[in-house]
Amino acid sequence: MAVQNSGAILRDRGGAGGITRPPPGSLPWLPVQKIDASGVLEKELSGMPGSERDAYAALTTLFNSYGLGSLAPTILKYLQNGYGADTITILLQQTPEYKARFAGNEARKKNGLQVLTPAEYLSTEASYRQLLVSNGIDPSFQTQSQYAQWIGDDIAPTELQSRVSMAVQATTQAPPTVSQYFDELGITVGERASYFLNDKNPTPALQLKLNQAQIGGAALENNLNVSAADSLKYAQMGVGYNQAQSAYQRIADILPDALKLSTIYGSQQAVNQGTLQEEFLGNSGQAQLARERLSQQETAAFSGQSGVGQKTFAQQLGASTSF
Amino acid sequence: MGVFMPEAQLDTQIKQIIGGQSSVQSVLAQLRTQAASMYPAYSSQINSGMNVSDIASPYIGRAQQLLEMGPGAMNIQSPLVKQALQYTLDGKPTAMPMYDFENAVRKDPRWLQTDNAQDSFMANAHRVLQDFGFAY
Repeated sequence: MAVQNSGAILRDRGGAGGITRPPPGSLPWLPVQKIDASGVLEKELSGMPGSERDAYAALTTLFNSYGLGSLAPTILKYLQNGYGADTITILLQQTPEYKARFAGNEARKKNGLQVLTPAEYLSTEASYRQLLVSNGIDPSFQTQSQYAQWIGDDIAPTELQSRVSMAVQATTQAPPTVSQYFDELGITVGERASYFLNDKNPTPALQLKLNQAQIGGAALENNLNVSAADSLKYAQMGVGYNQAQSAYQRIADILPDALKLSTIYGSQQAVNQGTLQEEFLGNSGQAQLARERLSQQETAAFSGQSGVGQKTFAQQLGASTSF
Repeated sequence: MGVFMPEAQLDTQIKQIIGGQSSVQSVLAQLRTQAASMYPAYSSQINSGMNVSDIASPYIGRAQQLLEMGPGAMNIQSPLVKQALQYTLDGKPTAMPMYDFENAVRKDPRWLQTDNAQDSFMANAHRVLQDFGFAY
């Protein structure tokens, strides 16, 4: 016996919300659950004399194997009343046990979303569980109530994958400086995984927050501080962790001399951390011009002199930066 | 007749019949009166000459069938049958519908150990699971 991939399930919202049911077979993430594949139940029953078997125990075993054991007592009651399968199916859906087991569907109804069949629901739960386990997410998230919340909020497993990935980057894989910057943003380590997994914000907003923390962390790695507003601005401009690391290394190299020269050539527009961030993170031509003017002024001051042994601002920037 | 008569009382009745102090008809009438008061829903049938065992026969047969018991395994003294014969609805003695009787039998723990219970459970459970979207 196996759960059929009925194809109906949640779609990755891509941050835009909404849900459709893709055509059958279009969901590679949907696992095919092998349930009672060996026919253990039937085998056990067929070999037992009547006195040793109990139809209710068999029913409970069968439904437990589907994670639906909580429905067994109600089904027993219906069978004792002589109801057929069709009636039982309909009546079951009205029971508190069913509503509790498929609580996510109740939330979906309230949110105006199409409910999932039990098979779809269980497959979705299985996908969530697999994602969380394989990524080493805290077991406290591996609960039916958590899954119900995600199902109710229309979080497809593909979308959860993105959130889990960000949660991992923000927790176990986060360098100390990124972690420190998360703290500065008010997202402490204890609540970080929850922030990424439970947050109602769409995935792009979470990605922005992660990038913001990584930019701030890159600054801290070089003993620099960047304001939350600036880190958010550069995150919004699409600056990633690697780019930020590279940029802040250069800024850290240049900044001391830039500050000194700005003081010396006071008539020029000052070049400070903000200017350099604008140039190397914000790709600002104006900021680049300001630094180049400062550099040119320094070069001019040294013209006519040998310059031997002099470490100029221009030299410090290296060949990659034009003057 | 559906009425239990202790052995000593039976001996006395027989002696009285032999001694001419009583008759079979009067003893039967006495027993019918007792049975009619015990099973008021069927008093008219009992008083008109029907045996309680005949009245109980459909219940006994169905119970033995559902519980997969041999003939004679149940009688009018069996709690399930007695309960059916003494059924009341809104406080009034009445004949128990067979549907309700079957439900009562299915609530007996012995039913869960029968083949027909197994078949019913598995067939219906599989159908429910199919309705839920699972496939075999």
